[in-house]
Amino acid sequence: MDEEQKLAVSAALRRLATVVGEYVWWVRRGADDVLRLEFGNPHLVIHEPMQLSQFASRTVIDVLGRRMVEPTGKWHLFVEDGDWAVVTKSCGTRRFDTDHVRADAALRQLDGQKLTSVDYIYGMNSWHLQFDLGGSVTINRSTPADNARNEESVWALFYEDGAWFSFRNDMRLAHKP
Amino acid sequence: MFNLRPKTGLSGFRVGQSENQPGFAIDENGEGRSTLPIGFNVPDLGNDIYGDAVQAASDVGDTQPAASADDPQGLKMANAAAREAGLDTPELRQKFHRAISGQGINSYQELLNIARQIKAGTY
Repeated sequence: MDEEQKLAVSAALRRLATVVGEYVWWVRRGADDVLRLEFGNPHLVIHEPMQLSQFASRTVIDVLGRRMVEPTGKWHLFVEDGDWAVVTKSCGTRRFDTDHVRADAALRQLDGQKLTSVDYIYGMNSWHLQFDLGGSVTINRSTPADNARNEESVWALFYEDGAWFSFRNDMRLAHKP
Repeated sequence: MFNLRPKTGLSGFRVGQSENQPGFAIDENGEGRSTLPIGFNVPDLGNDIYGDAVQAASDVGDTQPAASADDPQGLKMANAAAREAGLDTPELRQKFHRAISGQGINSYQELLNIARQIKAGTY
């Protein structure tokens, strides 16, 4: 790990540290088994229907031709390309777990816990989020073997005002102030 | 493959705990020191409930996407569509995922169409 990467980890930890002490809610898996978590007080994000061409497919119209209103936390953590695992006191799951009952149970048990600390474990190149009721989220960086690309995010943290901060697969940072 | 237990002997960063300040954990000799607070006990995997949970996560097995001729991107089909459409910021990709999550879309072409619309539009 070069000096710039160490500085990137340090900066990323400072950003994640701003979420420590907040409750996590609406923990869920998305397409490609990305992990999405909300922290802090909720507000509504509203996407108005898009203007679509007359040739748009039924699926595109169904997805983008409607208004979408979604509750979002003050912070939204989006684990996009990182391989994640969630462990709670009685359950565990990870990305691409095909046992949906087990996965849902683990995410449900994490839901509502308070983030107590954030670590970066060098030996494993892992992010480790610890919660107050024994839950944890571990995020490993994807590798080229996983079809990962350098410029894509292991995780990204979105703030309610539209700013975001991401830690990339190449251990560099990207952000929108 | 995940190793879910923090290793107490590894140097690294730690925040959110009063025992250590954020930053590199280097002692006066320049050696890495434990990043875990004094008194922190790693759960014993052999006989407590954490052990069962960690084991459960480990038992999921190797779930990395399996690429094939029909599915060259493995399980990361949405990611591949986002790439092809040029969704080049976390913001755009997050919007894309917000739109498609829970829709049950399993057609690469449809995902690509949606991603292209998001790239071109004001969603």
